Order: sequence, then structure tokens, then C-alpha cells
Amino acid sequence: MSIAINGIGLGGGIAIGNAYILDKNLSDATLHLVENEDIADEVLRFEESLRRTRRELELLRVNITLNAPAELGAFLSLSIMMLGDSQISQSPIKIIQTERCNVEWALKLQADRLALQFEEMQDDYLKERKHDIVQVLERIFKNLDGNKFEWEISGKLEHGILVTHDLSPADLVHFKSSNFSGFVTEVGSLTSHTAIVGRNLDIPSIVGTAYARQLIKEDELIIVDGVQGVLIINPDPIVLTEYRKKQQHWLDTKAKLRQIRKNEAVTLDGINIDLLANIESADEINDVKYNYANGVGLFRSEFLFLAHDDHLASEDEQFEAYAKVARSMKTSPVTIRTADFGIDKNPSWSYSHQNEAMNPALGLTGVRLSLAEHTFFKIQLRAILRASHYGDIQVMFPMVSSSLELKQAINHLSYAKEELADEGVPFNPDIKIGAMIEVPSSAIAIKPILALVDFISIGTNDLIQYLLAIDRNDETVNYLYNPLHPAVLKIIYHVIKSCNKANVPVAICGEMAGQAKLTRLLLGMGLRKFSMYSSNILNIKNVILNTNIESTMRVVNKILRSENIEKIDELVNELNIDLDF
Amino acid sequence: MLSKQVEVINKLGLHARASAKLVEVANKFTCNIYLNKDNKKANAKSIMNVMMLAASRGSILTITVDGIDEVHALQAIEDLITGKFGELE
Repeated sequence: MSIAINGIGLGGGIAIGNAYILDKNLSDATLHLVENEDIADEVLRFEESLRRTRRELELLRVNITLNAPAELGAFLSLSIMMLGDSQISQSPIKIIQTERCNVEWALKLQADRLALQFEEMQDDYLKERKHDIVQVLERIFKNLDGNKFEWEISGKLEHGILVTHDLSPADLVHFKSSNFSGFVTEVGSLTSHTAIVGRNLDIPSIVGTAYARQLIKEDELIIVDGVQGVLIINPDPIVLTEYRKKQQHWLDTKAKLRQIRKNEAVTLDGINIDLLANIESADEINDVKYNYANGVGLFRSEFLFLAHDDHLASEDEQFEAYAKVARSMKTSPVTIRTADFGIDKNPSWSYSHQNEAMNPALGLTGVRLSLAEHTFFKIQLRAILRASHYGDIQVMFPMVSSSLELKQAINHLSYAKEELADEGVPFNPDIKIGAMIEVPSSAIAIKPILALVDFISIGTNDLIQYLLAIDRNDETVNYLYNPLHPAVLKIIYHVIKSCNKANVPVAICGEMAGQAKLTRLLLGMGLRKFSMYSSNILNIKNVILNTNIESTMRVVNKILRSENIEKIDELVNELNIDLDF
Repeated sequence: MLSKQVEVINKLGLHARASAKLVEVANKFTCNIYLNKDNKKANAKSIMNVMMLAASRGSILTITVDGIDEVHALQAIEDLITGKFGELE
């Protein structure tokens, strides 16, 4: 039977392939009956894994570093001793023979039996030792033929699709060099770190497909549509044919896009458009360069701090990261946004973490948090200023809600400049200052803000959330999140118009900038700077190369005049009628 | 065959590391070594068996040894348990 489930697509097109299920835990083991003549082979599989596990543990014990905790050595010795115990080395064999089952199942049964005996113990401490035993069985399980995970493995995994509970950003690094053609995870949201890194991989991928590992059988044919966020298990032949076409189309488009990599982004009526990249870390610079971005429009500095929760990234650590990006981008601008801790990622050292806010989205976030945490703010501003000596760095303040707040932030920057000047540390005294417009108040009353800054960047994600009173991460209301809501378009148009009139450069760095469907509309609204994930740049450039702004104005004006959501949708489709996404 | 009763006096009882030590010592001898607690019997050379005894502090263990080196074995096991497995508490 064919099943389709929805998750959150991270883009990357479509992958069609056989499922490879990773993260097999002992508790996930299933029963397979083994034919009489195959029992001996099954026992051999077990013994081979037992040997491998012993070798692995012994190797670990030999290589323990001097500063490792003493407990580790004791723990390894204990584990090795357990491997030699008949309960571990013999009982599973008996289970395989009597139950005529696979090794995995035998290990699970044995783990359950042993754990049960521990459960009956009175002493809580001793009871907990069952984990030591289960862990040993778990290790044997993971060392079984076919369970062990080798990222570099080839052959079988060519075109395979990885299905797993979760992938850490570090796993994604392995993933990039593997032969998988796509991945599906059970957990993860649009804004999770894995999703953010995953989107930049440009590999068909979906996160947040709950129970995927239960629904998909190993080796089963699956389709991953990373664009729509749809996972299809065991597709019907008709669906399969359809998706093969879609996939081919995607690949063709990608090949075409690759050809425009080095082209300037110029519209058919000769207007130059600035395409910039959003990054979270210095590691993404290669992608930025590959896609020929004109600079970094948004460096989300908070990820530097999220790397370790226990201490602040020091001034030097921050400086290194900023300077690295600045140096590698040479003369191209790099816009560093001061820390913007979202609702879900307030660090443990901040006020807002200590005082559980009633309504964190309306609480101490963005530049407000920085203003409340003087020391933290000063360290970051000093690091940014120091790095400004090594490239074209600009500084941007997030979540500004009024010009007063912005003035305060700029004052802090001036103090930091004075300090560095006194210390004789080099920096760019004329560093450009920008404000991020994402609170409706500062979008509406923008004039006094424009008088204080060198540039503006519109953070559409938060602006839409605050304007429509919708939390995108709240599943009960997120269907109402709509960048094409007439109020959203009106407010964005107002900001762009005000900036253009005042001759202040304006960019959009929210997700709207990376959505090809909206490009023509935004161009028509007067936007000339777009900042987005590197992986979207070529797609947007393609639309720009095929757009004559002048001739889109008739429909754009109609859209801007309308307050009818359905009508706007129709008009946007009309605007893109000759485009093929 | 010899046997002797000993009380477990170290803080955590026969926890994993203590059990491991006991099994290590037991395996140096050729004689059979058993530990009895209540009506449970454990082969002192099997880590699982020993851990399964769940001998917490204050439990009374009966050590039973049977074989050529039984005298030394009994002494060694008794020393280990009464010496709190060398743990500092």
C-alpha cells in the first residue's frame, strides 16, 4: 500500500530511492523467523559481532588518554568482562536456536530478560546497573553486520535515502560526503539547527515526519519531495512515473541554473539586483562563494553563542569568527547582526532565562536583550569592530521597535569605539550601521530610524508573525501565516518606499527574499537587494534574468491595491505565468 | 569444601565495579566459588551472576569454595569484601 506523509521540506528537489534506516536501536529490533538451515549462519553473525565488539572495546581501553576519567577505564573493563559472561556470550545463541529467530531479536529478548531481573531489585542504585548490561547488548547489536553505520560506504547506498530519527548538524557534514541521495528525519522543525544546515546542503530532504521509521520498511522504495515536504512510501506506478518526470525537470533546471552562476543579476530592462547570502557560521563561506553572492546580507551571530551553553563566546572567539568571514569575503560587504536570541534559544546566562517570561516573543529578545546585558553587548560590539579592520563589515541591530532603542544601541557602539581607540586597537571608525525592521511599529514609523542608519534590512519572518499575530511554530495557527496577506504587502511596500525616498539601501533578509514566487512582486515594489540562503540564490537570479520590471508593474500595482487574499493569490500566479518553478 | 558468611559493608554494595573486581579475583583460582544471598546462588566467576545477586550494603553473603586452592580463594574473596573492595568512602 502506498502512503504519503507530510513533513517540513528542506528543498533540494526530489529523490527516489530505497530506504536505509539508521539509528537502529536495540529496542527497535523486530522478529524475523530463520529457516532451520540458516540458524548456524545467524549464530555466526552473532559471534562475529561479539568479536568485533570485544576488539572495539579493547582498542578503546588501550587508547584511553591520560586525562580521561578513571571511571571510563573501569567501565570498559566491566563491559569487556560482561562480553565474556555466558549470559551475554551464550544465552543469545540459545535463544536463536530455540526461538529460531534473528540475532537482533535474540539480543532484545535477552536484554528484556536481564532488565526484568534488575527491575525486581530493591536497591535503587543496583537497579540502575541494568543500563550497563543493556548497553553492552546494544553495542553488539550495533556491531552486527548491516547495523554498523559507515558514512563513506558505497555501492548499496548509491541513491539510497537515509531514514532516521534525527541527524545532528555534525551528521550532516558526514552526510555531505556520503552517497545518499536524500534524507528523512522524524524530528525537527523549520527553525531547528538541523533544518537550517540541511537547507544549505541542497539535497532532497524532509524533517519532522513523525513515525517515519515505523511506516517505512528497510529497502522499501520511497520518494522524498524536499520542495513540497512530502514523503511517499511505496508509490503507485503512476505516481512514480509522475515523480520521475518531476525529478528530471528539477535536475534539468539545476543544470540550467548552474550555467548562470557567474552571471550578473540584471533584469531584462537593465536593472542590477544585489543578491546576498544569509549565513550562520564561517563554514558556509564556500557555499556563498560558489553561488557568487555579492556579499553576506545577514550573519546570524547568535549561532556562535549557541555552540556552547555554559559560557559566553569570548571576545577573541567572536573576533576570529567575524574576521574569518570578513577576510574570505574580501571587499564584499558582510553584515553581522548582533545576537538575536529567539524565543526557544535563550542562553542560560541571560535575564530572560532566569525570569520565565509570560510571553517571550513579546519579551526580552533581540536588541532589547543586548541592551539589558551590557557586558555581553560590549564584548560583541568590540569583536565586530576589531574584525571590521579586516574587511567590509557592517553591523546590524535586530528587533528594533523605536528610534530610542536604536539610539541606545548606537551609543553602545560609540563607547566600544572609544575604548578600542584608547587601547590603540585598529577598527573601521566609519563602520556602517543598520537596523532590522521586523517589529511593525518601526516599519510604520520608520522615518526617525532612517535618520540614524546607513542601511535597512527587513526581517519578514518576524514582521509577518507580529503583524498577523501568528506563531509559525504553532501548528494550530501556522496555516494563517501568509506573506501575501495584504497587510504584509502594504507594510513592506511602505518600508521599501520610505527607504528608497530617503536614499537608504534596503534589503529583505527574511524567507520571502528566497521565494522565487515572490521575486517579481518584490522587484515591482522597488526592492533591489535580496538576502537569502546560498542555495536559493541561483533560483532567484534565474527569475531576475527573466523579468522586465517595467512590464510587471501593471499586475504589481493591482496586487498592492487589493485587500482580497484570494484575488492577490490569483494575481501573483498571473505575474509568474511564464515562469516554470 | 569450605564456606563462610561475610557482611557487605561498602557503601554501594556489590555495584558494577565492585562486582567486576570480585569476578576478577575469583577467576584467578581454579576452585569453584559461589556466593549465596537469601536463596539466590551466584557463580562468583560470572559478572552477570554477581551483579544479579543485588547485594546491597548490609547483605549477608555466604561464600562457598570447592577445589584445590579453596583456602586461598576463600581468604582472597573475604579480604576483598571486608576491605570494601579497596574503595575510599
